[in-house]
Amino acid sequence: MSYQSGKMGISEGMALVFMVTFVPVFQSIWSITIDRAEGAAWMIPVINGILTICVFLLLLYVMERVPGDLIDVSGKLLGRPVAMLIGLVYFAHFYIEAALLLREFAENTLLTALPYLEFSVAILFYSSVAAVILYIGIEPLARGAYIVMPVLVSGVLMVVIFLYPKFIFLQLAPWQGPGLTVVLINGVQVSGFNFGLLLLPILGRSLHDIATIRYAALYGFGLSILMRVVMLLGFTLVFGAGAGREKMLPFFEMTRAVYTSRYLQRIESLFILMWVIVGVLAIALTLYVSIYIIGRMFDLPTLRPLVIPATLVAAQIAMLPPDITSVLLLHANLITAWYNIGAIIIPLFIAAAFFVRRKGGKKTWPSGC
Amino acid sequence: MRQNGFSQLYTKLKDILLYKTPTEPHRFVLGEGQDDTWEKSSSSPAALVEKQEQALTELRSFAQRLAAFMEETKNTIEAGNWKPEVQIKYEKFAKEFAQLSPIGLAYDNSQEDPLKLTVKLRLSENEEMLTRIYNLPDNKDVVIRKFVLPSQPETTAMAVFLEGLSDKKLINLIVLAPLMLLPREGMAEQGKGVIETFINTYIPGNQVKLAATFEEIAIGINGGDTAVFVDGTEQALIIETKGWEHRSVGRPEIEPSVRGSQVAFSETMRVNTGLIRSLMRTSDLTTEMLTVGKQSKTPCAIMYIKSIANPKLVAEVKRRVNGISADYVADTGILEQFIDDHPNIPMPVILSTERPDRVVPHISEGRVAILLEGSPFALVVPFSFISLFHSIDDYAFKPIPGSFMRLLRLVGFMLAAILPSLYLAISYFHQEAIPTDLVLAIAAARERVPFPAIAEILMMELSFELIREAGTRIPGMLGSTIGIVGAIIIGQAAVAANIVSPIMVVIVAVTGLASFTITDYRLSFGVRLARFGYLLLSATLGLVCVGAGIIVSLILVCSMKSFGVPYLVPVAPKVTPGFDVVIRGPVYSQENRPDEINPLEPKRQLNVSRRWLKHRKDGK
Repeated sequence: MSYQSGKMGISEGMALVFMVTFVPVFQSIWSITIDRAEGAAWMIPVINGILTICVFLLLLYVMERVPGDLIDVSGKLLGRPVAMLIGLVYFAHFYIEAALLLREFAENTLLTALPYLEFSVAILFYSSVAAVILYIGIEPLARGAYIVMPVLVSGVLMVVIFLYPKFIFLQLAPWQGPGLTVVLINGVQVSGFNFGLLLLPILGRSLHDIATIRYAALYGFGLSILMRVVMLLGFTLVFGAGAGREKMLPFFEMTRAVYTSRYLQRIESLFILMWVIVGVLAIALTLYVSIYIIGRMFDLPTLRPLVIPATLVAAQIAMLPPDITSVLLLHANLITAWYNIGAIIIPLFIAAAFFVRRKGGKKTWPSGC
Repeated sequence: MRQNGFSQLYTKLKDILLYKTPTEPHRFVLGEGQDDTWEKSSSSPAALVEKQEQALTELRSFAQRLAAFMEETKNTIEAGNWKPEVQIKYEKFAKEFAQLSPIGLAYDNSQEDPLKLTVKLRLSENEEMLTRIYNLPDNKDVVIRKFVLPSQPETTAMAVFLEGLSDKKLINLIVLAPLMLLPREGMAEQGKGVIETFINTYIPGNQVKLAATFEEIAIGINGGDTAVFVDGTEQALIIETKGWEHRSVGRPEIEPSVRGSQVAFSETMRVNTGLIRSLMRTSDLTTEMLTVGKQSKTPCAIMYIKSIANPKLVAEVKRRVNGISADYVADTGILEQFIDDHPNIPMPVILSTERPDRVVPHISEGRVAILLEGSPFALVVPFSFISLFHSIDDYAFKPIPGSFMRLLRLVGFMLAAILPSLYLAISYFHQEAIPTDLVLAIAAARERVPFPAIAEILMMELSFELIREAGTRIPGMLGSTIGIVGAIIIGQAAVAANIVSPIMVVIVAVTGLASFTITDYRLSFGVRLARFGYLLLSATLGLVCVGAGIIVSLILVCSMKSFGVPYLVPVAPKVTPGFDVVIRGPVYSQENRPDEINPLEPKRQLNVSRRWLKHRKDGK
């Protein structure tokens, strides 16, 4: 599991981005979104998606001219101490996200599938599976994610299609929700939701080139945003803003609402398979990116020895919050504040540094790392 | 007197605790010892003395014969009766003298392995060497036939072959008869070039070659050829006389086909290479011969099309085969484990087939076939997971039925792997997913079964495995009959005895049936093992654990490679797919060879391969 590979192409990059940015579909954040944006909740992913991708493309513009991955580029433009600081920020992003995902998926497993399971066993289960996957490596992880991606997309689409008889189109009214300005502000505020997109420039050395990163981001992130919009539209059309804001697990509630005949009902348990697969992949991936950053920052020859300690510490962190409510509140706060630093502010800061230094006369940067 | 209980106990304890002299003779124990060698070690003083003694004996024998020859020559010259035979004898002695030079003797004595030595001029020395190599006279397989060549002067010779491996009639016809009946005049004229004369004039065998070392000679003899040694020559003739008993080409037993060819490989490698060549009649088809096994020296053929196969791939195949350091490689199954990228994962990463018509398309795509003497299977590398769902019938049918069969096999594969665990997980943890009527029916059927579902399913699965294994081991027609009868009887009896519920029988039967759709037996085995793993997972945490098991298995398979090519190609990693992955396109649309193998010639056929359509448009 060396990080100097450069073996992954567009499909693998696309799958990685999709898996990290698609995972919120199975989480509880949408009840907050629908609470704030009401009938216009579906616009929120569109707004923050457009903003994030614009900032990301600006960062790629810089990376085309300053060779290297995100940490290299930061080092060349801002100096090594700042690059280390940026690395630490992204490490914190991904590592905290891994711990929160671990906790949320463990809690959701208790809520939806195995109510009698001991909470710590659920945490241990998810962290062990993630550790096993990490041991196998990032390349197989990305390829596995690419294979399951169509299944996940089909699953979400199938649920939305099966819910068609329960659609009440008036639930989308008023189409502007609480007002376009409020929706816009809320949409921008939760851009931190998409910080996972930044894993592509971070893992730059494992991907072919900038074109690979660009297309992987456009396809993977684009599909993820589309799925979020589809899911939110379906959710709003079925439950509306009133009932929707009270649902703890929106996608789970959607699957529970599916009823087409006596023989196709209560399919939510079948979606547990999908649920677990997405959860395990997202946890493993966020953990990988965080230990990769540590490896890159300290020039470690291999990452494998870090897998078990990093997973154990993440599991311990995941068990710190006293209950799921505090976890959800913490996650919401991180999305609206802290994650924006990684998703928006740091890329803009790097771009600003690039333009300032270019204006100062520096036209070329050394290649390599 | 009958002992009471206390006395019996006391006697038994005494027997256990106290040492008694064994009544039986000393039993053989194969332990490690100092004398575990057939011969004295070559470095021991005794062995060195023995070698020096041998050298001295050789020198003394040579000196005695030389003295006799000089005496004879003196008499001949004094009598004024000069003969050309004297000149021939002189040249022979001169050569022998050169062999007995101090350097030559020192080299011969330093060699522990007689196979490394060169052929001697004297027949008796060669015979002694063969005695050492073949452990004669203990070894009764080796036949040494001495005879006299009717030359002037008369020359002794010997033919050496292995009983059972060589064709005796052929030896009589092309070795002994021509040599023993050859005209004297011709021999007398040739003198020095006697071996060349044999090859060019007398021996009618189609493959005759010269061998100078005993290693070459042993390879020839062990391969069924006959070695002919002639006194006074430093080379031996290896005449092809292979003729061991073997099975003729038969019908495919493991991979039957509805519309494909009905020819299967046999145990004779040369027949197998011939079968492949008969289907691919191009001069570009190259067969390289390697040897596997330090003791067995089993011939191994590497077949590829030189203008298509990637040279790096061919080099890697040869590197791996040549890199095997084992005494005996009996079968392609064993060879496969030696060259496999993942020998510990029970998933096949190398195609093993008994059908020549399955090997040829792969060779034509740029893959490499490996054949082994004595094995009726060919290996093809590199290989992908998706190709395991391909069958020769897919190509014999039109695209839609061909694709349908493949999809069916893929569904069968998935059912065989996870159907029992899905049932178990749903019935244990997620009953709400089953329609109400069905769940009531299942509950009613299980009401009288005293075991938990996991015990039921494990019992049935194990019974099924036992029936399958027994069906394979029972000879002939009885196997399948007992398999079917056993399954029906056990299923019915188990339900009647309330050991298992009818739904469980249905689940296990469907799973078993699904597993038979898998074309590759090794994959089927891997799936069976995985099924047990998933069963245990589903009994632990239901679908949550099954989901985790599926994703870990998938990622593990994604990490596998077959000779440097990712196993799940062309899906993951995604490469330019041909029109022949799961859905098979029309044969005339499959213009390109698989991208992942990087063939030298990527195009398989013209973009418009049905050129008659073009002609019709032109009005011709």
